Amino acid sequence: MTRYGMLIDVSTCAGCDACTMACKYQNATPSGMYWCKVLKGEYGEYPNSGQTVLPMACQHCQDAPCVSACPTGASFYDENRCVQVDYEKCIGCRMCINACPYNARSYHDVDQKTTPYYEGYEMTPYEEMRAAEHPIGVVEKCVMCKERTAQGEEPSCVKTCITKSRWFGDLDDPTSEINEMIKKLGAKPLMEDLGTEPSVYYAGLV
Amino acid sequence: MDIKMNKNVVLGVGAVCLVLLAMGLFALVQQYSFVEGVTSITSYVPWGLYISLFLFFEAAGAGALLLAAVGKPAMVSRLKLAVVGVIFSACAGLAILPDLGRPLGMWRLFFAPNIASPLLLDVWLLSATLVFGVLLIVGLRLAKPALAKAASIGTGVFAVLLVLGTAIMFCSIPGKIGWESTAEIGISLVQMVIAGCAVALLLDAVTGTARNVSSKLAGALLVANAAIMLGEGMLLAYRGDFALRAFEAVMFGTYAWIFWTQVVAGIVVPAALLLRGRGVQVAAGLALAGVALSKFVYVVRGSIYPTYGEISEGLFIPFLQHTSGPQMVTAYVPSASEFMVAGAVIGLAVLLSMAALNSKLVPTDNPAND
Repeated sequence: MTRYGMLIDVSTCAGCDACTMACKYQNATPSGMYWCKVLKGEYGEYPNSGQTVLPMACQHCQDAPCVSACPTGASFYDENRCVQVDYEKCIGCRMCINACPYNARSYHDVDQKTTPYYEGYEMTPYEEMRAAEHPIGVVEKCVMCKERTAQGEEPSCVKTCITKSRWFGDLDDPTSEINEMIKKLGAKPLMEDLGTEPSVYYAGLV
Repeated sequence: MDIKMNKNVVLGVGAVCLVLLAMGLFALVQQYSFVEGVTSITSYVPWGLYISLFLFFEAAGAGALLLAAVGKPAMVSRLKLAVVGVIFSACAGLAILPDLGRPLGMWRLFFAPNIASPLLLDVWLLSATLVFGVLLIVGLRLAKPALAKAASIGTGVFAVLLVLGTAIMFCSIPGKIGWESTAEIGISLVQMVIAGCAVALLLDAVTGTARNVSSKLAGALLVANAAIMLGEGMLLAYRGDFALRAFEAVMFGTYAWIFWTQVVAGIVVPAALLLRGRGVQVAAGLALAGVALSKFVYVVRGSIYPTYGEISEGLFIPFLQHTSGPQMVTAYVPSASEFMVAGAVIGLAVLLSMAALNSKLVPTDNPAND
């Protein structure tokens, strides 16, 4: 069985947000909505201080609280054990947003046609076409670039990363590159103690 | 109609309620046009005023139904409580609808649900409470003792289970550890009875009777409510763990004024009045308002100190401003549209209650008939 996962080496991430923009371009998410974000922060006190970055998106948990919390079954695991949202079933109750410990979900409640990027802006035909992929009144999240991975390609954020800080692969395949790198870098999921079994691993966390 | 209240009061309150309903409908149209900023709901504060209103009506409705179910004397007093309890419980369900992005899909909650979801506890228990509540009204109104007795048992059990189920649902949500404290289960149940007592006391004042509820019981329950909150606060001092830091955030963050208003005006003052037997109706109103404020504070508590805040020290979330103290997320202030829709639900609850109490559904209160 396939279980797609991701490894992010935070120690080499430059915090450039190229992944954020690649995701936005790939998935044409509505304005103001980012499925892939790079959180930034500071730690310590001068002179022993530094900056930290943390790329964040859906962790595609194997015991996902959002899937069990969804009252209509709109959140589900696909054939690659990635968590997806069936927009037809979603009623926009936002229970899943509350349930997600990683704040990986976004509520789409703004009509792009009535709320343009800026005053006077008119959507292009391409933008209108892609906007139709995002119905209003539902909850959205990272889909692990399912169209790309179905064709054997890497997710857009992995492909774009300028410092090659991301790896993508099958976590159920012990010989996969991602599993080797997880071992090599000693990577772990975020907030492991919650028992959500994320499929995204992090190395180099401060 | 069988007007039992002062006709001028009925007409005046009815007119205000109709205005509130009209404003709410206008706001609802705005909301479902999905214009930016119509509601203050974000991906960081996903639940707000509507959920608070649901919790308030649930507590008041379940409390009234519980008292109607367990009350022995005075058939008419029980009937009034049952009628108002059913209306308030139904309005709890109604308060949720405008919170849904796609309310037309709510049929899925009944016919294609994910039974693992704790949200269904609310849906099914509320439905069961409403069904038994209506049966209780029928049993009491048609003077069918067997039906009234069976419905009383069902109503009492499901009214308690409804509030318990909601409290458990909130405690089970891993993404919002601010809701995790199990003390809230006790607080919810106590507040349910407080709200029920307050509704009964106000009903007595409005309809000119006073039999069913001891004001001292309501006062004692307010003291119990304060004691559980104090216990939760003391745990903070000794443990200072993550879940309790959310409680600290509402006590000393942006929402502190609401929290302390609720404590003083919603608990301390009404408890003092009720225990001394003075200004009972004012105290009941304050207690009810205190429950409403408490529900709002509880709902926002989940979002202002969320689980993801513990991912890594010093990180900040894009688009959010840090606030001072323990609060992590900018205060949620309901929009004008949210207030108008909430006002409409309250107006509808008052209007329906008034109409029902002044209809032939509730006979003229004559103690000799009870």
